[in-house]
Amino acid sequence: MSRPSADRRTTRLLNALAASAATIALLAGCTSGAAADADADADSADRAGRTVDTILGEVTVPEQIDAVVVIEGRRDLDIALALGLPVVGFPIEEEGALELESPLADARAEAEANGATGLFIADEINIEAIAEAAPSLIISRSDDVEPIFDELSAIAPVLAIGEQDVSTWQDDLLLVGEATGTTDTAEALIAEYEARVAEVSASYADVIASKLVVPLGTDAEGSQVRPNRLLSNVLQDVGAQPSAAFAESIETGEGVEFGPEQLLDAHKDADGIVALVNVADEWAATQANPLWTQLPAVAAGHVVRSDKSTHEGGPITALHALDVVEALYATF
Amino acid sequence: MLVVGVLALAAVLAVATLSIFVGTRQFDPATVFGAFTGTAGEEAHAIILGQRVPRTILGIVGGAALAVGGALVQAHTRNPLADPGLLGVTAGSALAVVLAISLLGVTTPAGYLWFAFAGALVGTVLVAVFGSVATRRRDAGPASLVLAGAAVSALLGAVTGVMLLLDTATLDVYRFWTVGSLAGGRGFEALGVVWPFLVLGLLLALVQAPALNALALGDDIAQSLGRNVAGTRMLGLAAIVLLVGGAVACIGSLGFVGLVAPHLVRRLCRDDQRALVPLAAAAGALLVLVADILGRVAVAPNEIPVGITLGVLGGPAFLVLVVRSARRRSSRRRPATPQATAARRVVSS
Repeated sequence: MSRPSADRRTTRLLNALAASAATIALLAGCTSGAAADADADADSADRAGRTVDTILGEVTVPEQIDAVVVIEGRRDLDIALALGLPVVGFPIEEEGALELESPLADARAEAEANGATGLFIADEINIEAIAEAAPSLIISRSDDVEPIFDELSAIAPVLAIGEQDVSTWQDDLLLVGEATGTTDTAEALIAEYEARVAEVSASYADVIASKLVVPLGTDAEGSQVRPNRLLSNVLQDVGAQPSAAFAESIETGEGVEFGPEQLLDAHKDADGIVALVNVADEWAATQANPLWTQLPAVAAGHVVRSDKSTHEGGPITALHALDVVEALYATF
Repeated sequence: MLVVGVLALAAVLAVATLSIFVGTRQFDPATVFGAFTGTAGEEAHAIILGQRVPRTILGIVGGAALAVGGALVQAHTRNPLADPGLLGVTAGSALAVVLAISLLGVTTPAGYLWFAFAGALVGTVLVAVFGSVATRRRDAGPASLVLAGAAVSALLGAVTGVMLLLDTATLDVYRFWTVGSLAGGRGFEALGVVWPFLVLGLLLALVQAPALNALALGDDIAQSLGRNVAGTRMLGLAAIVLLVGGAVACIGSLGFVGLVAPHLVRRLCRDDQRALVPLAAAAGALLVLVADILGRVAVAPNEIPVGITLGVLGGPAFLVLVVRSARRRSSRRRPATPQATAARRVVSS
């Protein structure tokens, strides 16, 4: 990622001018009356902001947040949209990258209607585009921002959150809520999710207790089960009974992978399958695979489909994943 | 030489049989035979006939085509370190496929096929042109050709990178091309379309083999011996494009097969292209099949794509070739260069 020194110098110059202007304004304020002093105190409190602990250290976020840029585009975007933050920029999502509609499609469309726009292609972070968006807060996965933390911090405070192997989306939602003064909304979102989990658990209690299920990614190269994907977590939240492969992945905390010959043998104990397949061609090839059609869950029709959009996310994606899980149990 | 040929064929058949018996899912021999006679269970039938047989056929055909393509490239460039991958042919093929997927929405292997051929042709021509321009000698030197290949590969790779950067949907499909795989049977569908081109490419390679012996002496001597150098070059170009384009359409851009396989048999046939071409085909098939079998058993129950296994095996092999080549060039008193061997062969024939 290039960071032209000329632009950095320009940014520093603008910062210096802004700081000078602020200093002059403060000096001018000293000559005003008591009312002006009170306003200055309020302004000072605004500038002080809220300080929170993140995985990359303490960050002070301004009280007033006018514009938010997210960099990773999954959990960070989900949380920002769910909290109603003024998102102005996010990574561009490829048209046709996934066949199924993104769980964030509606919320993102609403944000776009309010002026939000794609700033750069996912995983190709463009610092200049972020600076151009003039955010008052940047939110992203810590892995993405850590190498460019200083550059991003020169633009706006950087709120680093985790990912599926580091922290839960609930932890990160509360962190962002605390940093942005939306803790009540964050807690309400978590409560809503927990209520839906309880509802699904109660509605399908017998099926959930008696049927083994697996969230199964599959393609021509084989199949894989991961324990920390969001949809895997949602299955565990409702009390799903894991198939042998899913149980092994949960026990080890790592994914388990199988070659194409193992498709039937590795997953024949599963009564229900959430098939994680991204594109139509791959799904058609999967359904034409004789080993797939021999799977008991497939033969009995206990299969629902999702894709990688439910691997990671926040409250919006979690509720969507819960719908997928409910749809699976509804097939019994 | 006939004995060597028979042994090579027997080795291919033996490894092909092993490829059908070995996999991440274990079956006893009776079950494997039962899959062919219809007495095995549905799972065994699906795995053995639906997966192992197609990938074995793909390995044989694709490996042979890439190896013969590599042998032709090495003969025409008189560069033992040349292969279709190193000289940008597979990079051109892969770029054309990416463009087809990204810009034209082509999604079937049969659709990729023509773009794979066109890309292979463009890659071949570009490297030949740049290689000729780069060298100041009349005989293209290995360094200049490899450098030209590296430059063209970098150029094509950069364009491919930009395309993939702008279109992640294409990236998922492109993975198949970058790694190369026999799994899933996707390539088997393409093989049904490309086999006539592969057969034609192999025939062209066999037909021009005697002329390649003369070309090993240099263009002037070959011409003085009555060979049509330009015609042989065109024929070689066509064969390389047919073989490499067809193979890449089926199994992706497997690295190192075209480079290493000809060297496995070069000493056996003493650089006689008439024997080298068929023996290289057998060596290529063996190389790919063995790599695929290793990939199936190394991390069972998971698999390693054959392209990765070949990369692990082929990287060290390439380094050995480079060292050997350097030693050969530094040893001026070496009695039997390929040119000298070829000269003796041409004179005696």
